[in-house]
Amino acid sequence: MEKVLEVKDLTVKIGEKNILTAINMTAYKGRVLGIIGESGSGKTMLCHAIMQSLPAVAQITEGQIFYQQENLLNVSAAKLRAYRGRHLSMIMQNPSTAFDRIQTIESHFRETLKAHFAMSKKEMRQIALDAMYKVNLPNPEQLLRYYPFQLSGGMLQRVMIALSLAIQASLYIADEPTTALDTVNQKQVLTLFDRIRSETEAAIILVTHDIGVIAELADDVAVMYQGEIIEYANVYDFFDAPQHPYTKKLLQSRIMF
Amino acid sequence: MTLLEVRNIEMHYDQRPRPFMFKRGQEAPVLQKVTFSLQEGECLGIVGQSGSGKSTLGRIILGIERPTKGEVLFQGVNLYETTSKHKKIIRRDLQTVFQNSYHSFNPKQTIFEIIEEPFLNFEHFSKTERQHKVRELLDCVELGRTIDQKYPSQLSGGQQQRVNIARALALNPKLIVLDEAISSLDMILQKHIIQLLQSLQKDRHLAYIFISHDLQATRFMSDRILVMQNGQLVEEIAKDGAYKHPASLELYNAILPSHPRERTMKHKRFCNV
Repeated sequence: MEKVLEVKDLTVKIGEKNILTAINMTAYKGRVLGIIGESGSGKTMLCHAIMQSLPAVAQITEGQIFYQQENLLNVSAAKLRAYRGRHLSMIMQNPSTAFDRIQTIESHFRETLKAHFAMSKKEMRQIALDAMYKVNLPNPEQLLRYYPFQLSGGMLQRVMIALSLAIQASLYIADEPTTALDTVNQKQVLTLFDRIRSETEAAIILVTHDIGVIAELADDVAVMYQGEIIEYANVYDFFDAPQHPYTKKLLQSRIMF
Repeated sequence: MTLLEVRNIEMHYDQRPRPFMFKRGQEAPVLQKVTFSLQEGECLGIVGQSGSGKSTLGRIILGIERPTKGEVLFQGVNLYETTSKHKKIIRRDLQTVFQNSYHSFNPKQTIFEIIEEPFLNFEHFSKTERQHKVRELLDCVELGRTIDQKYPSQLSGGQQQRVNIARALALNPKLIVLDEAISSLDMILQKHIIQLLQSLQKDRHLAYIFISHDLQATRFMSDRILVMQNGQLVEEIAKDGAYKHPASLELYNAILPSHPRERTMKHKRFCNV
């Protein structure tokens, strides 16, 4: 298995307080790494640490983040900017706030593509249409002319995924991508991630608080609790033989019939 | 005994007269011919995708929003044809818990003031009586008594939702409408709140209307489930009944597995490396 991203002993502090403590994890090509934890356990902070978009008060005090043998903490700002979006793509929790509401969907695609490639408008449009087609959005041509507020939450979330698909990132970081959606839309988005995994061979880091999402999609699982990874296992081992008491409690919380 | 009867509810938005230069938008009906009834002590689940009209129906039942057509009878009294004085009496027995707990509080009030408010509106209790009652309610939802001087922003999501439930319970209501009451909580808290709601139901002979897009949680809670699609009730299912309508099946198929072995994904991976 090919490593895409490796996080080693990552520690993040706000003031004297540890937000993340000695995080170790690896994302592999074509695999989904699920990160599960309750609210406030540091899941989102971890995503932002990888993308290096932490709030100004938070400091990375220790550790390395390797992306293809290169430590992201040491590269220049210009190089990092080239990586972000092009290689590392983040899918946010709330689709309605992640878009600019006075820009059409097409100009969102243009902005993203322009930042990384030199292309004509026509080419950009074609790539946008292909990406929208891949995520099963109905009538892509018409959708490109729409503004974000004209689409429903589930559709917007799929547009956001299409945006990252358009630039063919090699690592997708999805921060609670389905939490704001209803169950039917959730299923569609998860199916989409499943396709990305098998068709593009990208690595996916999927952050969630829902055990069901992990059961459906993840290959590896990391359980976060108060800024630490307390359990890290293959998804089958995670469900069959949970080690940590918190993990056991988490598994019991699933509503069964 | 029948507690609530909803008869032929119809709801259209966008009926205001518009200036001549603005065309009137198409009046899409939000609810159409919704009819059902609820017995005392029953838990009725209402499920549907977002935009199917669940929450609008919830607000109509609560008497917040007037339907275009139809009537809502709560204990035999039509909510939309009574005098405001009579309505106030009915309100006692009809309470609600919304999805976003934080936004249903006044951020400048302490937890004590929040839970005390229904007593100030409806009862003539002395201060010590109110303090006593608030403590009882906090015990009831398994919150520590020391919490009562804190502000909502100092509490976690689960604690806030419990305060919400405590406030809804204050006047010993007969019906509580739970509109996505557990959707924003994480799994462990969801289970806690569901168990709490179920034990309260037993102790106090409460009826619930449980509105959610999550069929799994709804099945766990409810005695009977109504499935909504595009503003219409398309199916009524008993607790262990089978699903027939496409809308119900869609919701049923969207339930996530409880173990990776039961995955439904096409590209299943068995990756015991």
